[in-house]
Order: sequence, then structure tokens, then C-alpha cells
Amino acid sequence: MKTVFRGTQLYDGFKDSGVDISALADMPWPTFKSEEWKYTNLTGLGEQYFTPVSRFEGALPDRVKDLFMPGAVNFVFVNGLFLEHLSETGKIDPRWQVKTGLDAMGFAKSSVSDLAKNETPVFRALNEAFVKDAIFIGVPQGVKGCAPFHIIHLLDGAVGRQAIFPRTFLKIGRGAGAIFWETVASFDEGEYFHCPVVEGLIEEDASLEYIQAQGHSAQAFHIGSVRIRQERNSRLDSFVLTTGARIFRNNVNVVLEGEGAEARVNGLHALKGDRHADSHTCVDHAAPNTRSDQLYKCILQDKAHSVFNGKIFVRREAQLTNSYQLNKNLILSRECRVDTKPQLEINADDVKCTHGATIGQLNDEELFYLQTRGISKQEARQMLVRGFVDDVLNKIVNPDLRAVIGKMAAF
Amino acid sequence: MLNIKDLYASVEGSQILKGLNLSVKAGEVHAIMGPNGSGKSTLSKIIAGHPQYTVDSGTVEYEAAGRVVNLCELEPEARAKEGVFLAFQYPVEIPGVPMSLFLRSAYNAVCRHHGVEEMDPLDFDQFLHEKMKVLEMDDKYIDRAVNVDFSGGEKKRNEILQMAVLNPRLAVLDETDSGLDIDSMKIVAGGVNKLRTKKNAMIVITHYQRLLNYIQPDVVHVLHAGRIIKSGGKELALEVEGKGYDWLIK
Repeated sequence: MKTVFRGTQLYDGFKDSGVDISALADMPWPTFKSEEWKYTNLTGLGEQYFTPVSRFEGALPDRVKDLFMPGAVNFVFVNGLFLEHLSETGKIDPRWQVKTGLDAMGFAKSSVSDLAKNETPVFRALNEAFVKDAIFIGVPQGVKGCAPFHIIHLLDGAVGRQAIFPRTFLKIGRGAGAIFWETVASFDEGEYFHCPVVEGLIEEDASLEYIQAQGHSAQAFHIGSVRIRQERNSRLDSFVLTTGARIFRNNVNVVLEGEGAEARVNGLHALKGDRHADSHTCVDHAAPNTRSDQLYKCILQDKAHSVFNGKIFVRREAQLTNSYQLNKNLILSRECRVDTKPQLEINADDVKCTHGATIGQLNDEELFYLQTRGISKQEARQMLVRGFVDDVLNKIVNPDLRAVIGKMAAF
Repeated sequence: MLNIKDLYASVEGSQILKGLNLSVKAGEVHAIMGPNGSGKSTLSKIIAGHPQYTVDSGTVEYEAAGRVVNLCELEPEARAKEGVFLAFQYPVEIPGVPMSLFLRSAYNAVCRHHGVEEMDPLDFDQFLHEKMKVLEMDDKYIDRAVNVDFSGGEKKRNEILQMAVLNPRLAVLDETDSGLDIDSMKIVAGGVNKLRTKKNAMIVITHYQRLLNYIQPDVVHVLHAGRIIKSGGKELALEVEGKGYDWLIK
């Protein structure tokens, strides 16, 4: 007997797209019974009607220019489609390889895709079926010190109930270095479904600072994945800021495949109203002498809901692994909710792994200490909130990016 | 300057101070000694205004700008602005808040209260640099988060640095000597002595006479079971050091 899953009304809007969705319809729609979706309820998404984006019409708000970052190469995508006339193609370092559109799709079929095995199949399949535009960025061997590459993803809810499936692929060649960052912004409170995939390969001795700033509409649904594969002695510094959405879920999957690889996987949920954000991280230590550090901080007020699920795998061959993970939550109201679940799976015997999670309010002793120095209670509160946030923002290596993210995360 | 009259105070429902009287004049340094649990730290928390400590009866009169106020009626920050300072026995770590911001905010809050112009960050850095030199603190501390990853001795020095920045009229030093080696103690005591003037007063709470070799008190009190049972000159501290507290208690 074929099971009918709740929530698959979502596919109704996809029927006229010309894409065969019969395989999709057979995949299970995740419910709270699945461990992966215990705290993020997808029933609401399943009952929505969205149509896959096909083209962009209409005028862009001038405000998109405000998102440009001086000193960076700025590229603009609207509803997942590349807008060449707004993008600074002339500023790209001539040694870099940058491809968009169908050209990029060829490159984007990568060795990194198999990391998706930890993810929920239906969303991976949706992205694969409906991706309409993509970008590939290749930094050749030894090239470093170039301007940050900044992609602005503008989500225009005014167009009306769009489903958007972007794809980004980054390849950092041997010994190369790059700063790459993506800003997701919505100028209105529109409803849309955003389901992006980012894949990155960091080759031997290469380094990548990868930053996402996710600023969605309060009515948005976002289910995204970041997959990174790291070779020998490579280094990743990643940071994801989100201000949440109606449903926000981000998966960050990193595999440390070469000896000596290091990953820093950090993030911040800054949530107000009834916004929700769910970060699932998975760091897979697959080689000896690898190192990972994770700090995810979440600050909540009103009726916000934050979910963190952090997995660390240490494989049998990954001796001398160093792995550290911490999730800290600061709740500023009685009505907000936090679910946090750190997980360790260790199969090697000579490793150092620690993890932990804290949930707390502003600390009374800290407040008192500041007050005894003449600082008013209100100013002391602001200082502690700012301090809580800055503690994780300081993990962003590039100071210009840190300042921009700091503004977005203002609480 | 400070006049504590018949003070009864509690924390978490148990009464610790039971009829304490203490009078401190401008220019004086008072030492308060006493065994564990006698109420020394409770007294310091009451003066600073810790929300978990409650005054059951009695008053803590404090003379500021020519008028007398009951300290118990003021918020902790208002006390600080009137020149009351507590050097914590266990200084609090505040992750993410840099020392420079913390000290400047505190200094400027007091300036605003007194209608004095605030100091801009550059001038303040210079001002702070001078104060840190006295305490032999490295400039690198300015960029660190308040007390985070400070050693025990560094935390205590940081308390005296804050005292130097705020220049209080009444300073309470709560076991500032605990956890300090002899060299650090000399530096800390040197910093404290520099701040000693005819216009301000200090209450030095300590377990040991040792600190009082470096910060010479005018009056020494012995606190026991929530009240002062003996007061005297600095020789009282030596006597306590030699004979313990038992002879005073019975």
C-alpha cells in the first residue's frame, strides 16, 4: 500500500513545470517523528502552494545597491536568477574562473554532492530537479589575496509565491585562498520557498573564509545546505548568521578528508517575533590530525524558537582528532523556546573531543558587576547582549565583514 | 562619611548581620577582620547594593556632596555614581565585553552624573594607559574581555585598576589580598596607597594581617556573628594574627 504523506500539496504548484516529479512524490515527507525534524515542523511548508521560479520581471528596488560591499566583487541574483547588468563582472580577478547559468551547472556536478547523504533526500532532490541558475567560482592553484567575492541573493516575495532553488559551487585550488560571502535579503514580507545548495571543495593547503548572512522575510521558508570537502592541510572558517524566518533550516556538512585539515564552523541565530531558525551541523573527521571548532550562539526574544543540532563524527582512521563544539543560548523572554542537541560519534581511541550546550538568561552577577561601576541597568543589559553576540562575531576573520554582519545582527 | 547604624541584613532568608555599627570618616582606612561566616562579605554586598542581600533594619548613611543619603534606597549604579566602590572578592567574567568599552562606559557614566564632560576614546586610552602603568598591567588587557582568561592575580589588579579609573570616595576592598602572591600584593597595595587621600575613605576586608603591613589602617575591627565585637588600632591586627579569634569570641 502506498503511503500518502501529509504535506505534499507543495508539489501541486510544481506539476506544470514540465519536470517529472513522480520520483519526488514517492519520497517521504519529513515529520516530527523523524529525529532530524523533531523540532522543526514542516507541515506548514507542505501545505503551501509555490511555483518554481522561471524568470524575473519587474523593477529592482534601488536599495539593492545598499547591500553592495565596497572593496568586494558584488554579484546579484534575484529569486535565484543571475542579473548580469547589476553584477561587477569587470572586477573579477582575471585568474579566477567564474561561470553562471547552464555553463556553471556542468562544473557544479561535483565530487562534493555525495556529502548530501546526511540530508533529507526530498530537499536535495527538489534542488536538483528545479535548479534554474547556478554559479561556479574556481580559484586556481596558488592564487590568494584577492577581493572578497560577494553574492547578493535578493528574494522578491512581491512576485508571488515563488520556489527558488539556487546552486553555488566553489573550488579553491591547491595553496589558494579566498573570501566568499553570500547575503540573502528580502525587502518585503513576502512568502517564498528558498532551497539553496552550496558546495565547496578546498584543495590541499588552501583556505576559505565562507560567510552567509541570511536575512529573510518573516513569512519565508528556507531549507538550505552547505557541503564542504577539505583536503590535506586545508582550512575553512565558516560563519552563518540568520535572523530566522517562518521556517529556517540550514545544514552545514563538512568532511575533513585530508590529514591536517581544519574547520571552524560558527554561527549566530538572532531571533525576534515568532521567527524560527534551525541549524544542523555535521563535521566528519575522516583523516588523522584533523581539527574542528564550532561555536553557535543563539539569542532570542518574544516567541522565537531556535534549534541547534551539532554532530561530530570521528572515523576509526582519524586518530589525533581535535574537536570542539559549543552551543550557547541567551533567552530574553519567557515565551521563547530553545532545543539543542549536541551529538558525538567517536570510533577512534586517541582523540580529544568536547561538546556542550548552555541556555540562560542575562546573568544577574554580571549585571550587578557592571552596575557597581556606575553603568545603568539598561546600559548593562545592552552591553551584555552585545557582548554575547560579539563573542561569536569575533570569529569572523575579515574585519570589514565582521562589521557588516554586526550591523545585521543588531539586537 | 559612612555611618552604619544597628544594621540587620539577610541573604536567602538567613540573617547574617545582627546589629552592626560602623562609622568611617573621610581620610580614614578601616580594616575589618573576622573568621569565615562572620558577615564580612555580606557587609560589602550590602554597601554595594547586591539585589540578593536585603536590609532587615537599620540604616547605612552616606554623606555625599554635603547631604546625607540612606545608601539602601539607591540602585547599585547610583551608589557608584556617588563615589561608592566595591573591589570584588570574586571579580565577574564578562565574555564579549572588552575592557576598554567597559572602563570608558563606567567612567563616562560617572562624568555624566556630575555634569562633567565625557572623555573621548583616544584621550581615555591615554588616561587608562597611565593607570595601568601604576599597576604594572600590560596594555594588551585593554582589548581583552573583562576578566576573561585573567589569572586570579590579574583579576585583583583589574579591580584596583577600576578603582583608579573611578577614583571613589568610599572604597570597600573585599579580600583583595586572597590569591595574591607577595609581589602582586605589593603592587596592588602600592596602587591602593596612591589613591589614598584626605578626602576619601577605605574599608579593607581581610582574613590576614599580611595585607595590613602594606596598607596601614587607622582602625581595625573584628567582626563576629554579624556584629563588631572589638575595635582598636593597627596593633589589634597583629594580636589577632598571633592569637587567633577565640580569645575575642568567648
